[in-house]
Amino acid sequence: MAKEFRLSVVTGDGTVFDDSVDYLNIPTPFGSVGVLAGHASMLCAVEPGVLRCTRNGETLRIRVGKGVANVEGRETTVLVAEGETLE
Amino acid sequence: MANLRAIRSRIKSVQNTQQITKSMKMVAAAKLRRTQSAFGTLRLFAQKSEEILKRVGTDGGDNPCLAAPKANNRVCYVLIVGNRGLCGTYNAALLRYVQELRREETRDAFLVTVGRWGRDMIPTAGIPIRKSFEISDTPSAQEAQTLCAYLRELYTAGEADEIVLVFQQFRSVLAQTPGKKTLLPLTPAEGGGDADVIFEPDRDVLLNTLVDLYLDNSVHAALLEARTGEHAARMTAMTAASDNTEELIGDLTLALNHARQAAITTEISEIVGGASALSGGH
Repeated sequence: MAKEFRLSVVTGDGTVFDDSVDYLNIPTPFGSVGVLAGHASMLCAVEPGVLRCTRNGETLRIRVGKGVANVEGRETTVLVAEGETLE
Repeated sequence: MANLRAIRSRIKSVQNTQQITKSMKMVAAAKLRRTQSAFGTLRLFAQKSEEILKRVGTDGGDNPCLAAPKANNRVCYVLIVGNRGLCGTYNAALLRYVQELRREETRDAFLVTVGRWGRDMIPTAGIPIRKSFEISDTPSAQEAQTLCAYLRELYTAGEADEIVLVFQQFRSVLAQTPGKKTLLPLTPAEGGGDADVIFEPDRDVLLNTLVDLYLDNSVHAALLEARTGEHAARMTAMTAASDNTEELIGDLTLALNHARQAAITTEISEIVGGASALSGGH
C-alpha cells in the first residue's frame, strides 16, 4: 500500500475536502505539480483548474480557483478562492 | 355595543401584527444561525492563510497593496448597512458613525455603500456615493470577491489612498457597535518567512496570490460580521415587538371584559328596572 498524507482543500465558504490521499496533482501557473507523501516543504501557487487526488486507486477531481498550496510534513493544505468537487 | 366591536377588531389587528413580528423573529433567528456558522468556517480559512502568510513573509516584494498610497488625499468609506429596516438603531447608528468619521477627517472622502437600506437616507449624509453594491443575507465568498476586486482597483488606480470598512461589529446577539477596519493599505507583518521552503514559482507570485486571498477574506469576514449583527439586531427588535403586542393584547382583553361586563350589568339593571316598574304598576 502506498504511503498516505492528509489533504485539505479550504475555501472561504467551507472545507471542500479533508481526507488522506496517496497522490495529489495541483494545477499551477507553470504546469501541473504532483505531490506524494514525504514531499519536501513547498509553497506553491495554484491556478484555476482541476485538482486531482488519488486514494486506493480511485481518483477524485476538484475544480479550484486561484490560491496557494502549502505542503508541510504529512499535511497539505490547499487554500483557494473557490472549490467544488466534480462527479 | 359599538365600543365592544371596536375593541375586538383592535385585538384582531394587534394579533395580526404579533404574527408578523413573531415570524420575522423566527426568520432572523434562522438567518443568524446561518451567518454565524459561515463566520465559523471563515475563521478556519483566515487562520490557515495567516499561517501560510507567515511562512512567506510580507516584507519586500512589489505588491501594489503593500506599497504606500499614491497620495491624493482621498479616503473611501465602505459603508456596510443592512438589507432592510426593522432592526432597531442598527442602520441609523452606523450612518451617524460614518458622519462623525467624516467630520474628524481632514482628507476628502467618498462612500461605497453595501446593502439595500437607506437609498434616500444615505445621500442626505453629505458624503458623495461612488458606487452601491447589493449583498445577500448570507454573503458568499463570490460576493466578497466582486466587492474586493472593485476596492482593490480603487486603491491601485490611486482613486483613494485609504479604504476603510465601516460596519456594525458583532459583540453579542444583544450588542453591536459601529466600528471601522482599514482594508488598504495593508500593514506588512513582522518576520521574513521560512527559509527552508521551496517557493513555486517564486515568492512574489505567491505573495500576490496570498495578498489577494487575504483581502477577499477580510472583506468576506466584515460582510459576514455585519450581516450577523443585522440578523441579531432584527431578532432582538422583533422579540421586543412581540412582547409589546402580547402586553397590548392583555390590556385590550381586559378592556374588552370590562366593557362586556358593563354592557351586561346595564342590560340586567334595565330588565330589573323594567320588571319592578311593571310589578309596581299592579
